[in-house]
Amino acid sequence: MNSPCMTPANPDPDDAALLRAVARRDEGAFASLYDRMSRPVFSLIVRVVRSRAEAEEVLQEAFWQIWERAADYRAELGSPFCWIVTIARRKAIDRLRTNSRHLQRIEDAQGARVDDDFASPAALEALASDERGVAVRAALAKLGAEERRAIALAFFDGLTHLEIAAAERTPVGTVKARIRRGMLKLKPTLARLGHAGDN
Amino acid sequence: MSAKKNSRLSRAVSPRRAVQPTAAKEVSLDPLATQSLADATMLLALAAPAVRAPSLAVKSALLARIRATNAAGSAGAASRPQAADATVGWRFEKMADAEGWVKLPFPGLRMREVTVDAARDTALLFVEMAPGAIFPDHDHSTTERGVVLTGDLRMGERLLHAGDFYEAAAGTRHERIASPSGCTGLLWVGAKAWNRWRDLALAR
Repeated sequence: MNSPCMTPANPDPDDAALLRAVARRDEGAFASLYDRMSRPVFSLIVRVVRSRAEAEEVLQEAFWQIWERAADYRAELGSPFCWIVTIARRKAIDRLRTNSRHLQRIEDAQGARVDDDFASPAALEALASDERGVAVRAALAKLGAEERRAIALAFFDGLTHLEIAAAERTPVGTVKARIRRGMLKLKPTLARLGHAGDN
Repeated sequence: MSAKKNSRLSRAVSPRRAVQPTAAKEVSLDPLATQSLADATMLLALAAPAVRAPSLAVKSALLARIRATNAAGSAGAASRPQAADATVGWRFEKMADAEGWVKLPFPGLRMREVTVDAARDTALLFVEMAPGAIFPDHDHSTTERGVVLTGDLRMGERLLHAGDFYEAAAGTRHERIASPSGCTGLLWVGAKAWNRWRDLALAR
């Protein structure tokens, strides 16, 4: 299977080698891996927790776990970047759910106070991390607004399908269908970028 | 968030209030949606608006922590040859080992990480206070527990001696702690709190 996960910019086959060196407690390799990965990972965390100060704490927790758990990485689980993003996103969402702060996201969505910040890739192109970010934004923008909102609430706000259903005041089956339909539409773009990342 | 609002939102996400009463069960039975999202994790992350790079302090703190851990590990390995030969699953720490101590920004106060469980947000620490050392007022974001191993420890009007234990629940405030004649002890605190103390100390 061609994993859609790859390095965010300038795919480099040495990512896995760096991670193996980190597993051997190579501090220099860890510094290189941090330099290569921290920027896009940090952007993701900021989007999830919506606070730079808090995002820096989460970034530090995530990279400390990467240092401690690098030996657990397996190539069949995806690229190193995919693995790192998975760790960072989990920690960011854990932080969000601390003290039930995710409930505010549900209330925001119920009050239609959520910006559809993936609807206009052209306007935000300058903000995207690289050309792949632009491509993903463009693919997201082509989705129906309800599909895009459901995917964004799940991925960036860490809401469960049930919570999204409550936020959108819609049956949970409809939420699942929107996410599934949206992801199927995104898959050609993701697969194309994944192939590019394999090269 | 107010209790009233919390209660309202809790009801809003309750399965009983959802449009489909059995929805909660169905969520976990939809592997395609879940798997699709998992597969696309990295690419969706790239759609996040790029922000300014994190401050250099994040990387510095990580590298400082790695160096401190490496130093403690190599010193431990050198000074504990028998521990290295012990059955897998065992680990030993000597408070007398010199490496790995972190000097806190208060005179005469140092701590050493014994074990940290980030998932449970707990850290077990060795603590040493020199005679007359003072730990200033502080609040507890998580429960703190301590045992005095040697010496004495003054907390307000109470004087703790070797073998004495205390527990301070999350949300309590600790008045200034002093050790008139010096002491050593074991301290259980939140891992996040320990990380903040350590980073603050290492950044100095």
